Amino acid sequence: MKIYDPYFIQQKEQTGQKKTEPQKTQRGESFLDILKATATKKSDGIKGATPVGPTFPQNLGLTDLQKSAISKGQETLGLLNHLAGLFTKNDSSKSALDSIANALSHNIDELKELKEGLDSNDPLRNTLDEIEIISMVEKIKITRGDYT
Amino acid sequence: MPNKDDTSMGNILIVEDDAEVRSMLNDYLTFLGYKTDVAADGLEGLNKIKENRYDLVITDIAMPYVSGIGIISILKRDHPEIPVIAITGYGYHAEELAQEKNADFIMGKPFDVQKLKETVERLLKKD
Repeated sequence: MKIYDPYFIQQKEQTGQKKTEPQKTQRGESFLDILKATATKKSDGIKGATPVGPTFPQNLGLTDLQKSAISKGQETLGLLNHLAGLFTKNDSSKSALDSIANALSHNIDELKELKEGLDSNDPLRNTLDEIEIISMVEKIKITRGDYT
Repeated sequence: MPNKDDTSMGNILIVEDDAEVRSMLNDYLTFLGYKTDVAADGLEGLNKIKENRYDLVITDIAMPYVSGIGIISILKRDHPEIPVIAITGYGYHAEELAQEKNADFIMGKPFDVQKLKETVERLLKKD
């Protein structure tokens, strides 16, 4: 399932369409709505990311919580990758950046929640910490205007 | 004036990716008489920690390759005796993460050098 369409805003701007609700998709949903909806379903990750949920090898012995945490971490890395892509394509409009900041903010909260459920010695926690700190820093950079 | 050849005051590693802040910390702590070493990112910091013996580590939080949070986690696991000061310009959330990892002291940027001096002295104080 595609949960975040990184190319929507770019395509819209390239075709010169009027931006009325920059943070809404063609279906009228906000990115946050989409993220919330997908949080309750099995996610295949965001566009461009390797799907994780259904492709976990059975013998890894991961718990459902660990799988969810990995999926959320991967989804968040996808958002960061998309952010980097905006700069590469010179498309860092305020609306595009704000959408990513909102999505990152939501994911940071979810990562925090998922992390709390993991064992204190679970090595996955360190990986999630790193993703959380990078996401938090990028979110702050966007919201305080470092990129605009 | 502190004696700059006296390294018995303590050996401090400064891990900071911002060259200006790194240089300022290095100059200030050297002036105070401490022996210092610097690393420009988290990975270099971890390598230095593996190869050398430090009495105190001062680390930024947001850095390339390995964050300060990663450094604090590894230090507190492998060398719990080494105190860590975390510095960050990213506010409450970063400070909370550093606290979760048991950083000994957390300073927001821009920081007060007098407070830094007092904290370094306190953390290096031998019982």
